[in-house]
Amino acid sequence: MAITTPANLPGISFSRNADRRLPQRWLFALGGFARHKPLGFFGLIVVLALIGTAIFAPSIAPYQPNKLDLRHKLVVSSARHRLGTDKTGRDVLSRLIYGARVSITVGFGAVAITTVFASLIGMVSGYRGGWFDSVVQRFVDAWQAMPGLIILITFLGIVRRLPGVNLLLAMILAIGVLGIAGTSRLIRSAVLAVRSAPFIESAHASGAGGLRILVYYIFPNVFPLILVAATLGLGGVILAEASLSFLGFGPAGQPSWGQMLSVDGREYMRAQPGLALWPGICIGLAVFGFNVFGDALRDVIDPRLRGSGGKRR
Amino acid sequence: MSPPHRFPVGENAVGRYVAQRLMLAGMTLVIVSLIVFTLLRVVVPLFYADAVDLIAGEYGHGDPALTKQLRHDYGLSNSLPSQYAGWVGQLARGDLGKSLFNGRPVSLEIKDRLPVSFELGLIGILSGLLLAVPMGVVAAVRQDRWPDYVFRTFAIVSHSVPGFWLAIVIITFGSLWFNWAPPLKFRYLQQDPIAHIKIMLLPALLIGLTPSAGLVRIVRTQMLEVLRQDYVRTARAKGLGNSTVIFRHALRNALIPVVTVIGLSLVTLIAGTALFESIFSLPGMGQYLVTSVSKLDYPVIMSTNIIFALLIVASNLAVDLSYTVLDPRIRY
Repeated sequence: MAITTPANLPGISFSRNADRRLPQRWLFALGGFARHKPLGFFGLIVVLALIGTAIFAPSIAPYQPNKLDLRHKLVVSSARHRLGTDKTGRDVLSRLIYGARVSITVGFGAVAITTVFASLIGMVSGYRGGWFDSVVQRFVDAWQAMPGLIILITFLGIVRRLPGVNLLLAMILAIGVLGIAGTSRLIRSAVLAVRSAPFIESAHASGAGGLRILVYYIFPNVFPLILVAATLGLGGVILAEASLSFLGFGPAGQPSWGQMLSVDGREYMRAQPGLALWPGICIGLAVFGFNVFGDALRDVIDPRLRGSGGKRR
Repeated sequence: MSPPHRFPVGENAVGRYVAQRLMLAGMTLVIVSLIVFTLLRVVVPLFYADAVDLIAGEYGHGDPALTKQLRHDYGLSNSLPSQYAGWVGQLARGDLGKSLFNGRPVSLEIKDRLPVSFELGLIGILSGLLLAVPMGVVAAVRQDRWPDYVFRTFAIVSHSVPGFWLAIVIITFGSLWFNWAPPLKFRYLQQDPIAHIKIMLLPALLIGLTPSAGLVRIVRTQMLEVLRQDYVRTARAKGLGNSTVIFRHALRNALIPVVTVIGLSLVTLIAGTALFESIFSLPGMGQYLVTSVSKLDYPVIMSTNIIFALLIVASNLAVDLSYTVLDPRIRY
């Protein structure tokens, strides 16, 4: 694998871009990304908009997400409530905006856990090799073959009955831990590809220890792939969170997109079809954003990986 | 895309390979059983006296004699390792336990429910394949022209849009615009075949949509790869027709890695049954798990998890072994 830095990413590099000063260099890389990967750039915009919505939810949302307005129940659309209201008159748009918070929190939280541990396991296992690698990989095999959503349903269904448990945190932890195996496999294979490279050998020869090689030589080379895996993983996590919330295993009290589609809203969807429509569009758009951005990132960073899919679970 | 596992070579390699896969299957089962066991017998007791106490709290402190009986039945006074050993022993004897709420043996319940989920998954994967394979082939043959773009867009979109949401949208707008609603009462195939098909068709078709996204992509990339191979050029050179080359020579070889993706999709499908069965109120395995988890019916929780793990492990095993049949080049 060639050493990739932002300045010489294939497809978006420009002549003498490396000579430019740093902020300009990034701006040019971004412009190239937009030109060569328009769909991926659209994904990036969706992702940034989503993060912005989650952070600034209180100032964007027209109403409090849980504010009841019993005189305006099941409004389809009006001047006061653009996207209508639900069965207790809560503003759908405000709930959608706050729903971005749950998706983003669970998404980034779970992916952070997955990425950190998957990188550790994948890098050490790939670099050490030998019996250590074999043992770890057999464990990863078994871990990967677990029925993800089933385990999550069981875990969250039991944990939410326990007093004082933060369900959001439990969800982040569970989804994050389940994703480790698959991602570590990906990172390990990238490590195997660079492990026998001449520059690693020369580092060895000049007396660098295992830890030093891992941190300063291998990590920078697999970092782009880690970034891609994390981006693609985010889409999967958001989908998993929506499915769990939809089934009623998500955190209560906070509006989330999956929860808005769940059973207790079902009978009102005929009266207010927006209840069925908008949350799903939000989920789809968010997952789509992360997927196409991740795909484009992967194509730019390593075109050979194209088509190998970014599916989790 | 390379095969997912390294195939061992040498003497008696088939036996070693099968043994290796079986060991992996066993390990997955052990991990799943340990997770579920730890949750119910280690984590729950951190908060309550034990799992029975949690249920007693949930449903108002009922009959003390009953709770005592339950504790005795589940051997909660024994040490943890012996509890685990007892449970595994029970499972090994085929005893899946009884529901805490209606006393119905889990094995009987599963006998009714497994065929429903299995049918759902089978029709799902078949419809997914019927959709994805032609799309992938056409996209590859017409690379970088509009069919390619259309089908790739389909793959990206169906990869992102949650299938359960599509089901909700179809139900909502079907009833709004066409006054159509999915039947509420479930009928088994042997009771009323036509009503059964009416109930199962929509969820089964929708459940295949999500896996088909991955399938379109892999069929397309595989076809592109295979179409560049020498033997395809040879086939064309000896004057074979375009369709013969594509279907006889290219597609058959391109489909081998697709089996892996089907194997991976099975996990998605099994997870999907939990979602679709609760939307369409189908009495399958997923619905059983969801309702028993929300009732904390823990003998059922433990057994259904094991059954799900067993299903996945068995299908993975089948996928691994099917490689030998599909690709004679792979020798052990």
